[in-house]
Amino acid sequence: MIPISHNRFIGILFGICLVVLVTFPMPSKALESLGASEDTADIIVGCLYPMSGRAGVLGRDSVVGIRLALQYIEQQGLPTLPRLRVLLGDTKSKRSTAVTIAKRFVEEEQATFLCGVVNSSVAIQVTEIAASADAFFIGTDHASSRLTDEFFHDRYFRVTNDTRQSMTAGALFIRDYFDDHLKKKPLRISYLGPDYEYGYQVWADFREALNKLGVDYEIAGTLWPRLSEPDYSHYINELIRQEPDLVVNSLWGGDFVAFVTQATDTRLFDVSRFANFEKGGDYEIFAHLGDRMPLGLLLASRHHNNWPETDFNRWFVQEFHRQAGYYPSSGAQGAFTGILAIAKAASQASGNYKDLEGIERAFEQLSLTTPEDPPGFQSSMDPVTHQIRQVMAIGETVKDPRYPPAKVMLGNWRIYYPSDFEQVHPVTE
Amino acid sequence: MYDTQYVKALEKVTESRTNARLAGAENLLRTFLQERIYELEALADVPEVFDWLTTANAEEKPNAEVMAQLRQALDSPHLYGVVVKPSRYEAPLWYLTQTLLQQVELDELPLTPFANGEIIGPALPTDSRPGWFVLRLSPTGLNPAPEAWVGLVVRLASLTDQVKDLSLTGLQSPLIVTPQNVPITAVGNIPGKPSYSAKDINSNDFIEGWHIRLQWLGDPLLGPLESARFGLILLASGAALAVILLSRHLSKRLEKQVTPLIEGADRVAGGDFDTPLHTEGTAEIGYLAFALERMRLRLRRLVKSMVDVERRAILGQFSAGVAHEIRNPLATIKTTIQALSRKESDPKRQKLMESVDHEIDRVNDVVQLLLDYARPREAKASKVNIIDVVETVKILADAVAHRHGIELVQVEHESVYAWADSSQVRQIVMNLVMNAIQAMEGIGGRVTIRTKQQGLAVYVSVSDNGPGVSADHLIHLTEPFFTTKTNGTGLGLAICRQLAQANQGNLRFQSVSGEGLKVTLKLPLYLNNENQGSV
Repeated sequence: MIPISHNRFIGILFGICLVVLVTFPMPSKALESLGASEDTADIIVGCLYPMSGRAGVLGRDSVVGIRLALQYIEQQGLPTLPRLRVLLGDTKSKRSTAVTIAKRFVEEEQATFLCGVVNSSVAIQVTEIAASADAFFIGTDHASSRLTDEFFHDRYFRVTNDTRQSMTAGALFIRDYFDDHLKKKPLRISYLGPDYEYGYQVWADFREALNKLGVDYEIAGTLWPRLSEPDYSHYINELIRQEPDLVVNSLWGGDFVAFVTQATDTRLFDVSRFANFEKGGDYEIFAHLGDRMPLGLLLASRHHNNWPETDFNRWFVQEFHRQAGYYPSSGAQGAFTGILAIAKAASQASGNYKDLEGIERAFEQLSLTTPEDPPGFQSSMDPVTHQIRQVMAIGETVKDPRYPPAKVMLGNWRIYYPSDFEQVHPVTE
Repeated sequence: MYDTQYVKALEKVTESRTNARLAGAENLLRTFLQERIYELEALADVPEVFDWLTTANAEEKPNAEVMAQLRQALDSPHLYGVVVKPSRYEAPLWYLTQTLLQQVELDELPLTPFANGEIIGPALPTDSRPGWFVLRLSPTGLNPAPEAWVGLVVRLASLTDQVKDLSLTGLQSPLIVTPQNVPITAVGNIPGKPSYSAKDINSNDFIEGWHIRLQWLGDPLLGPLESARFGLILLASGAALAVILLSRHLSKRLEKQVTPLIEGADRVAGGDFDTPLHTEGTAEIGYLAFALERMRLRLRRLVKSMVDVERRAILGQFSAGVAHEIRNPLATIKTTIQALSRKESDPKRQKLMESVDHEIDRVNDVVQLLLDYARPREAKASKVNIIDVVETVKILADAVAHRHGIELVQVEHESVYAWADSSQVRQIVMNLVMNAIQAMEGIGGRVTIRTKQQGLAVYVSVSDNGPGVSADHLIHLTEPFFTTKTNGTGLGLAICRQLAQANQGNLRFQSVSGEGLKVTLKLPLYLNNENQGSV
């Protein structure tokens, strides 16, 4: 008998378990669906969101957003609008799970559209599947600009701002907000972003915008906590030690809530200004921290409950609150816009919902009004990059009790339009 | 010494604990890597993966099953990606976000054996991306260089995270030193200002070329404490020295203040009541010196008073005897002389007898003075117009003054009334005026009498511009039988003082030798008050 070492035995055992897990990845249970029935549906959309864990709130709010979108489409009563059947899948923020579900949507459920995905790394996997299956992938909540660049394909469209837009707005904001400081000395910046594709891209887009704007800055340090990091204390201590003028953070969802909650008990917000131009201004952070939310943080998000004060946004926020019992985070509006965009693009195609090329062309020319559009502005798709062009609103945390349990919301807004971004990144034909 | 021993003991305990913690951390690091090796072995042992690695043609992409296996590995929070190198591939195939491959040359990364695999790297963190390393295995063995291998791209921060519990905020920061001799912090970045201290502690290599360094940060925190500790020791020593010096100083100062008091007390005990005590001193010593000085003055007064009383008693007895034994024979002699004188016709002898009669009167006067001093008459106070008294004296003394060429001057003053015995006041003033005249017999001069009222007293001063009295004599002027005159009895001023005291007054003498003498009688003012005490 050949002797087997202890380590080797554990390794083999581990391998067997892995094989079993891979071979039987998930039970083939019925998927949750919204909208039209399987028989009556004109278009099947498979939406992928995390429904559990720290990012779960974004997925759950996105489902409410989809429900609101279907309801909104029905209320329009237009016969040209397609009947949508929306399938829902929980990615658990894992690439392998997301790929398995996405494949099932397109291969077994005949979905011609994939939508959603919060995590950019997961989105890169999903967009490859969509490309190989000639299916549309409508991004509603992930933001890495590499999806419309390196991983671009004809059927990918994103209906929320990406990292390049948000961080360009952030760079413009810094140039204006720290004007007095910059006249005297360079701005020392520390960056803390999640340790995956999205975090790297936010930082790269931000530095590119700062460089193009000629902002004088120094890098005090860069830190990369992993997703769902339970303890940020060492990162916070390191940020305090680096003594930057500004901490730029790109954590999102529950990670950002955990970070700010832990940082409120330290000197961080006293010794440095703090900014998150991506999803730091999500309502969930305000709801979670209540009156413990520090004032004076510089935050943005892809949708705000208190801006713009248009009828459409008010309707969206109040209707969401009526149905869910609480106010929405930004993911809801992304999902709402995604479903609305699919319906509108399909209706503007030749009328044949199977004409995917026609729908693709309609998507490229798409203009639609979304809850986050200020008066006089309409979101529109960039036909070249397939990236929607929207306004970015950056604010400062101020006391605002109108959306309980939050006691603090964003105010002192500075608004940046797509035309502002194009001055930094000129469009090349 | 105690402090040094205490610090040494503390350092020994700390070192022992630190070594134990370091050993624990080394074990954690090896365990972390071993777990990744297990994951890698599980991946490499999957038949589809093994087959693809060993048989795939160049550029042949992995099939769906292999991809599923590789993708599964990516769900680990500690892994960035997977890298595979089938035997017929020229270069490895990375399943990794391109950002992480920026500024990385795989061939230049260090190679470290671990367990039955190898570690490539780490690719050090940059401003654009975090650090990572590859843990690889080869199904065909690693020596010589493997033709086919599969590797996991491991997050460097996940490895460094294993030592975060070694961190002591403000004191120690754990670093992992890579084979490139670059320190990485527990959060996976390169410290901005790497500093080295003799107090840094290095562990053994937990794998070849990799070790932990406990960076000492305590100087800014403990430096002030250390300074404070030495400061306190110095302060305690200084305080002890200061106490000794202060004790010596206080002892000397006490000695300096107490010694004169002891000497003074000895003098008083020896009967010297006239030398003042040294009354300088602080606090209690000062009070004691003052009390002793008061005691000396009271003793002096008491002794003087007792001597005076005793002297007067002796003088009284003596005077009574003299009066009895001398006056009667003198009266007989006087009567006899007067009888003889009337019958004597010879003028020369008659003149002689008159002289004897005159001398008998003088002896009688002396005896009367003795009796007056020894048995003073009680004063009977009443309202006395001092101006009247002075004018009366001036009228009586003017003739005598004129005879000696002396001008007697009364300075004009409005009426002023004293509460005293008028005859005794007159006697005093007369005595003072006569003394002044006698002081200038033969040389002439001027005697001035002044009266004034000040406060609740009446003052009568008699001053002359004669030879005056020396300071040595001045204090003895009122002592009985002290006189500077050749034919004086030394009782006049003693009686004056006695009378002044009997009238609740006193006498004050002021003189500068060669410039005359001024004697001032002080008497109580008449207050027009029935309750004014009787003398």
